[in-house]
Amino acid sequence: MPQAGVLSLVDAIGHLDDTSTRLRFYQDAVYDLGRRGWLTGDDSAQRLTSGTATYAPASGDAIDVLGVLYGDRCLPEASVTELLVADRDWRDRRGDPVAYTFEDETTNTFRLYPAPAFVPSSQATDDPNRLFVLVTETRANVPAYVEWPLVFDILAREMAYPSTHQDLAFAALCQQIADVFYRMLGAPR
Amino acid sequence: MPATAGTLLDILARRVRDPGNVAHPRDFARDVLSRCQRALNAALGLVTRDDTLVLDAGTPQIYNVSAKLPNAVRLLAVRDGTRQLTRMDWRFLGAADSSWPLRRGDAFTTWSLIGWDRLLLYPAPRSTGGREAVTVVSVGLTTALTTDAIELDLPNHTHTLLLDLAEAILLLRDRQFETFQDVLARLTPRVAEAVAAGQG
Repeated sequence: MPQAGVLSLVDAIGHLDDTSTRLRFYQDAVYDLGRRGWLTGDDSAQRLTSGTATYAPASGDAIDVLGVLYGDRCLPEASVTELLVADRDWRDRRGDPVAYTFEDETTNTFRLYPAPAFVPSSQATDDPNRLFVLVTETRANVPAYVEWPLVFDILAREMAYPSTHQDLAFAALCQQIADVFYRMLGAPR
Repeated sequence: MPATAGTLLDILARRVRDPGNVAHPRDFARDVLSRCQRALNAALGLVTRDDTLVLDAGTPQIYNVSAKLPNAVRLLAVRDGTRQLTRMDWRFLGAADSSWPLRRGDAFTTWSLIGWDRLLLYPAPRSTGGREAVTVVSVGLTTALTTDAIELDLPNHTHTLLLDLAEAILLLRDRQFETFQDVLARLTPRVAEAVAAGQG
């Protein structure tokens, strides 16, 4: 369901006299849906560069990295401590990547270990050297079945926010019914 | 006999003390009822649908559910011809086959959901010749109630819960907080039961 459809439901139920902040709350609520794993995506395959170890999801809508597929395997995530224990010089290693670790959680930048030591010759669908990143994401067009929980989630945020129409009681009740609707959908599996 | 939207809207209007549809225009109330039917079916899983998913050639076999199956709410099963595929958590696939992302085979054996929105089929077909689609069974979106004459998709025994949901929304819209809380208190345990029954 497009963003405009969700926001028109928010208006119809909330009777807002000031609609200047509801878009921000829409974005916040959809971002939280993505963070909780409701909205997932797959980042398009990336070409690797020889000697370059750090990569990030190409899409600006990505929130969290769920998995990194490299060649024929799903790379395990490793902490920097684990990599240090396994190999003191892990940052300088070159070879066939076997794990990844996050460099910067806010930009989802991750480092492959060891850094790839060759350049793939093609981007064919079976190219064994491409990188494929599974992510959770935010978006402006959510599936139709999340419309009700999203509408009440937005209203709960909007009504709790200091404004001319702030109504904490209404906000609390909107959150309650949003939770009921979220429960009806079940948890992402 | 299945109830029509009009029948339920009349009951709903009486429940919220608005028989003339003054506070809540009939078109709006019908829209609320329609969306509530959709939400309730997501919980109960009573209205299902079969969709054909046309296969891509590449690996890994990951499909965007919202884009490819826009009327599917929750995937229940995947069939390749008459053969039902086994469901598996995608994070465990590596334990069964460490080379799963590029694995090709003669037939699909497994399907997984990555979050809500990505369907993974494994292994990728060696060739698409002769088999170009699979059937996806899902809890479907119910028919939009655009007129009073449209019959509801959900069976009659669910209509009390459906009316409770729609009533709660209209009461909240009308800022009738005390009555809303009564309806919500009545509704919440029954929704929990419905979710347990519908989603196992």
